Parts: sequence; C-alpha cells; structure tokens
Amino acid sequence: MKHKTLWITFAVIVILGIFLFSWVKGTYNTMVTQDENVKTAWSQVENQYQRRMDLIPNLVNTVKGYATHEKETLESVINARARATQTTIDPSNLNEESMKKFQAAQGELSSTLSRLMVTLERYPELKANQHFSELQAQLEGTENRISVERKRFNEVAQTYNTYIRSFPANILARIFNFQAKTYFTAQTGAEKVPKVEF
Amino acid sequence: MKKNRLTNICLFLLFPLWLSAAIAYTVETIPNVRLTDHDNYVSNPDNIIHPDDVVRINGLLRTVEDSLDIEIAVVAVESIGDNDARMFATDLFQHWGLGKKGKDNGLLIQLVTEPSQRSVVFETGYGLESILPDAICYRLQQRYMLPEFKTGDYSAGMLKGVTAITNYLITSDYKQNAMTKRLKTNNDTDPETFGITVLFLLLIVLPVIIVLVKSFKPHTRVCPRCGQKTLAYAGQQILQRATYNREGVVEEVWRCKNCGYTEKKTRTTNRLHHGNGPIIFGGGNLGRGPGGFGGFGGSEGSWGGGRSGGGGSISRW
Repeated sequence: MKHKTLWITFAVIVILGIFLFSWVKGTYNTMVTQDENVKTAWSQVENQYQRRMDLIPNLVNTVKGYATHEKETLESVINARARATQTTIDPSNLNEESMKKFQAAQGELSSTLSRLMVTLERYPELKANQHFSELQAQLEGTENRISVERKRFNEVAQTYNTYIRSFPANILARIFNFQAKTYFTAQTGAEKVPKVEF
Repeated sequence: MKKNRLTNICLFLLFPLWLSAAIAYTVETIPNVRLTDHDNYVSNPDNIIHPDDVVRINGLLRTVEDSLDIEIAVVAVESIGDNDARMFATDLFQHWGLGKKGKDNGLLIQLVTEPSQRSVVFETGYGLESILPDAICYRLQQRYMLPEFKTGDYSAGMLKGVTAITNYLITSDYKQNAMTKRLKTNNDTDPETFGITVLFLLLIVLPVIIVLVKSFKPHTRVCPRCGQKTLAYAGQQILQRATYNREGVVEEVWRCKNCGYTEKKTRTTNRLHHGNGPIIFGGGNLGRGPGGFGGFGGSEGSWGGGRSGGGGSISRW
C-alpha cells in the first residue's frame, strides 16, 4: 500500500517535470527565435543606413564641381556622415539609450542631406547632369529602403515584445533576461525624403 | 439669363460627380488581374493603356517570365488618393507578393496619372536589386517613358518602357548568374552530408516505404476451393460506364494464386455529377488554371510570394 502511493507520487512528479520541461523549452526557443528575427531586421536597417552613407562621398564629389557656394552645407553633410559612421549599435544591445543615439546621428545626417538637396535646386546645370540625377534616384531609393526596413524592424520587434511581455512567457523572459526592444520613432526631419522635382 | 442660371445650377450639381469620377484606389482595391487570368500582367482598371498595347505588354512580360522566371506587374490607375506613390508601390508589391518566393525576383511598374500624384514607379524585389539598381530604373524611366508621358500618351510610354526593360533584362546576365549559382549549390554537397543522407534513407525512409508498399498490396482472402489464403484481387473491368443519367457497373476479378480459382463480383459505381464534368474533362483549363501557379505564394494566390525592400525609382513630370 505504501509502495503504491510512493509510485503514484513519483509518476506525478515525472509527468509534471516533463510538462514543465517542454513548456520552458518551447517558450525559451520561441524567445530565442524571435530575438534573432529582431537582430536580422536590425542588420537590414543598418545595411540601408550604410548604403546611404556609402552614397554620400560620391554625391559630395559630384556636387563640389558645380555648387561652389555651398561649401558650408557640404561640410555639414560630411561631418554628419562622419558622426553617423561612428554611431553603430551592437544588435544584442538594442536598448532605449543606444537607439536614441543612433537615431539622433542618422537624423542629423538626414536633415543636413535634405537641406543640401534644397539648396542644390538653384543649380540648373547640376540638375541637368545625368550622373547627378541618377545619384539622386539612388539616394531616394535608399531613403525608401530605410523606411521600409524600419517599418519591418518595428513589426518584428513588436511581435517579440508582445511575446515576452505576455503571461506566462514573461516569467521566463525575466529569468533568462530577455529584454524589450526599443522601436524606431518618427523623428522630425528623419522621415523626410529629400525630393527634387523635375 | 434664367437659362444661364439653370446651367450653373446643373454644373454645380454635377461638380461633385466630376470630382469623384477618378476612383482613388487603395492597395486592396486595385484589381489583381492575375488572379483570374494567368496570362494577364496588366491591371488597367481606368483604361489608361490601349487594349492593343495591353496585349503587346502581356506578350513581352510572358516572355520575360518564361525565359528568366522574373514576374513583372504593370499597374496604371488615375488616382491613389493622398497616398505617397512610392510607399504605395512598396505596399502593393508586398500585398500581391510579386516574384518567386525565396528568389524575390518581382518588379512592379506603377503609373498614376492624376496631376497631384503624377508619377511612374519601379519597385524592385530584393532579388532584382543587383541587376536593376535604382539608377538603371531611373535611366529607363527618363529615357523611354517620360518623353511619351509628357505628351500625355501614357499607353505608348508604358509600351516603350516595358519593351526597354524586357530588352535590358534579356540581354543582361541575370539568367547566367542564376544558372551558375544553381550549378555551384549542386556541387556543394560535401561527402559527409551525402553519407548521412544515404544512411538516413536506408535506416528510416526505406522501412517506411516497405511498410507502405506492403499495406497497399492487394490484400488476399481465403480461397473457397483450396482453403489457402491466396485469393488475390486481380483487377477490374468496366461493364457499363457511369453517365449523368445512370449508374455504372464494374466487374471485379479475384483469382487464387494456388489453385487458379476465379471469382467475379459486380459492383455499381455512382453516376456522374454535373459539377465534376469540367474537372474530369479539362474544360480548356488544364494546367494553367487560375491559382495553379506559385501555389504556396503567401499573400494573394497567383503571384509567387516574393518580397521587396523598397528598391527602385520614381520619376515625376
């Protein structure tokens, strides 16, 4: 009789253990997968920002010959680019502070760029230059890519955040230290695509 | 005087009608013509493109898809409301899922003619960004489409643009790249993975197949003459074909492998239903039915389910 109760207790413990294990395993692995998704989305965002920074030297060189009076604007673009190049985020460290820095640096580059584009309106010769107009198309395409990837990043981050904050996954998220990701926020100037009408 | 006033009132009453004449399309309401007609790549709800040109464009785009596997969609509408044309193209691309899944080799050509939004957008899928970089898209737009668009001949401009893209893609090394890549991945199977695969096949798949084959084998019954379990199903013969009006009759033959005893059983089959007709007899829909393409495409059936990252270019005039 005593033996039987012992066995039942043992069986119950084993079954509970199996349940607990499979729950922890499932939840943990889902969190890892989603965390990796966020990282992938982030690297896409950074790729597009990098693409924009790669275009700038080319743009500056093309503009230099024509827009001789815009030295100051050009320099501010070059400086903003240099600062933005230095500000990168390690994807495992996507918190509010690093995100703010990153957005500020890229936002500054965006606004100096759009200021440059507006001033270049005054140079009809430059606008007639095929190389320049194609560069501009590339820049516009890149800005569009940035906004697409930012949107996708936010979507993936939202899925992840919702998951780690909902019950009961939030218990495990706390134990294993999965932290919420910060979203991209619309910034004044950063959202504006430099546009030139023809 | 009075008449004049009446006309004014009439005009005033008609004004909102005139305003609403151009329907502002959304990503969801632009007709996805490919869903119903596999050979139609052109969504032209406002009849901006001349029917003859639509036929020509469809021919070109069919060629591109057959030879390069690239999916190109043409959309021409008057208005998309207040939406930004560029973002609209990105959203529409994603909604339809242009390009093959995994290859992301789709291209969307979107023309909007309403003055405030007047623009042509090329939206390239991830997989086409290297062959159709933004600068090339822009150059093709400026060189082949805008001269016609500026004169208001949208149909001719679209035809010229599509022709230019077709020529560009076909003379490019896109296909060559794709083929060399495929060859490479074929050679990349290293011996170790190969060994494991073979082992896996031998240990797991083979027994499963054997069991399956065994279970599908025609089962045997006990022969009433010799008593052995060797009476096997030998086939069937249609005595009377089922029609819409009456049942059919089928004769099943069982033969004993041991003593040669033969047993025949007749069985009736269900009469045909009218709904089944076209499927059984093809109805001209064989192979290329709507949706019989890219099946697993994610969003909307008939395109391959590819993705775009917002590449491409926009030209306004």
